Amino acid sequence: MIIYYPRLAGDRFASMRKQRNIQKRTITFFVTVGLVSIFLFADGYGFLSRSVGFMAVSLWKTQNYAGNLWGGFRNLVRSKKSLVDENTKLKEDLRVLSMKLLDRNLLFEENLDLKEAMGRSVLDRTVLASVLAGPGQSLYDTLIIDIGEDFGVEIGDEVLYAGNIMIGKVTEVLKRSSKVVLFSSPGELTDVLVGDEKITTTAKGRAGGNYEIRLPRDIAIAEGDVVLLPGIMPRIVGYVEYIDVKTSDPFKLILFRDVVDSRQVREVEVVLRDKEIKK
Amino acid sequence: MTRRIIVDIVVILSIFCAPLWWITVCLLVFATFFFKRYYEIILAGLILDLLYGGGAFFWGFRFVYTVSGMVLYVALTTFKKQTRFYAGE
Repeated sequence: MIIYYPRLAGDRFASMRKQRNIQKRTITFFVTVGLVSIFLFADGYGFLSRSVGFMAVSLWKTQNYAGNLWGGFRNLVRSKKSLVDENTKLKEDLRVLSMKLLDRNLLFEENLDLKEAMGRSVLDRTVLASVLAGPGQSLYDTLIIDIGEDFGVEIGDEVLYAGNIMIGKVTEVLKRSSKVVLFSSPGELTDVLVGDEKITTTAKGRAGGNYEIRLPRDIAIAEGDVVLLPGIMPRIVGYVEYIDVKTSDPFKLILFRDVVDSRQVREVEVVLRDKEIKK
Repeated sequence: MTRRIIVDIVVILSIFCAPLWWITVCLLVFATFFFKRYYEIILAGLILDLLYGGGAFFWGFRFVYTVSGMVLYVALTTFKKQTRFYAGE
C-alpha cells in the first residue's frame, strides 16, 4: 500500500530539516571560532596542554601504583617470576654501574684539569624523577617525568641519567609533571664535543637515540669515540657508532647513539637551574 | 552508540597507557573504518600532540598527530567510499 503524504506535510518536514541544518551549521561555526580563538588569543595550547597533562599525570600515577601493587602480588605468588624480575633489576643496575665506570677516566682527567685551574669545584643540585611516559608511546622523543613546579623545575633544566649521561632538556613544566625533549628527538640540534681532540660541532637528532654529525673528511674521528656536551663538567651524550666517508663528498657523516636506550629509562635526575653551589 | 563510546574509552586509555604509539594508531584506523564519521581520530591526534609533543620534530610544528589524523580521516573516508563493503554509507 502506498501512502501519499499531503504536500503541506512534506513542506513542513523539509522546513524542519532546513532549520536543523542551519542550527547544526551555527553550532559548528561557533565551536570552530571558539576553538580557534582559544588557540590564537588565550594561550590555548598551554591551557589545553596543562589540562590534558593534569588528567594524564593522575592516570599515569595510578597506573604506576597499580603496576607496583600487581608486581608485588605476582612476586608473592610466583617465586620463579620474582627471581626473573630480580635478575632483570640486577642486570639494569650492572648496566648503570658499567656506564659510570666508562666515565671514570674522563672524570679523572677532568679532575686534573680542574686542579690546574685554581681548584674550582662545581656541584650540581639534582632531583630524582620517575618517568611516567617514554618515547615508545609517541613519535616524539619526549619523556614525561613526575616532578614539576612543586620541585622547582624550570624550562631549560638539563636531564641526566645515571649521574653523568645527559639525555635531554625540560621544555614544559606543569605543577606536578614536566616534559623532557631528548637530544635525539628528530631535528633537535645540540652543540657537542667529539673525538679525542674535542672538536666542537652540532649534532642533529635522528630519533630513537640516534644522532648525526657532518664534519670535514680530514678530521680524525674513530668509531667508539666519546661525544660530550661542552661545559665545566663534561657530560656524555653518546659514542660514535658509524662513519660514512664518500670519496666524492668533502664531508663525512658521523652517526652516533645514546649510551642508554631511552625506552628503558625509568628514573632520571633533573639538574636545577640554580645548580652552581660553589665551595 | 554504546559501542562507539566503549571504543572511545579504549582509545583514550590507549593514548595514555599503551606502551607503543602504533597500537593507538591501529585502534584509530580500525575505529574510522568501523564507525561513520569518526571525528574522534582528530581529537585523539590533538590529545597525543598536547601530551607528548615538543622539540624540533617536523621543524617544531606542534600538531603533527592532529594533522596526520585529519589526513588519515580524509584518506580512510575516501577509501571507504570506494569500497563495495561501505558503499551504502
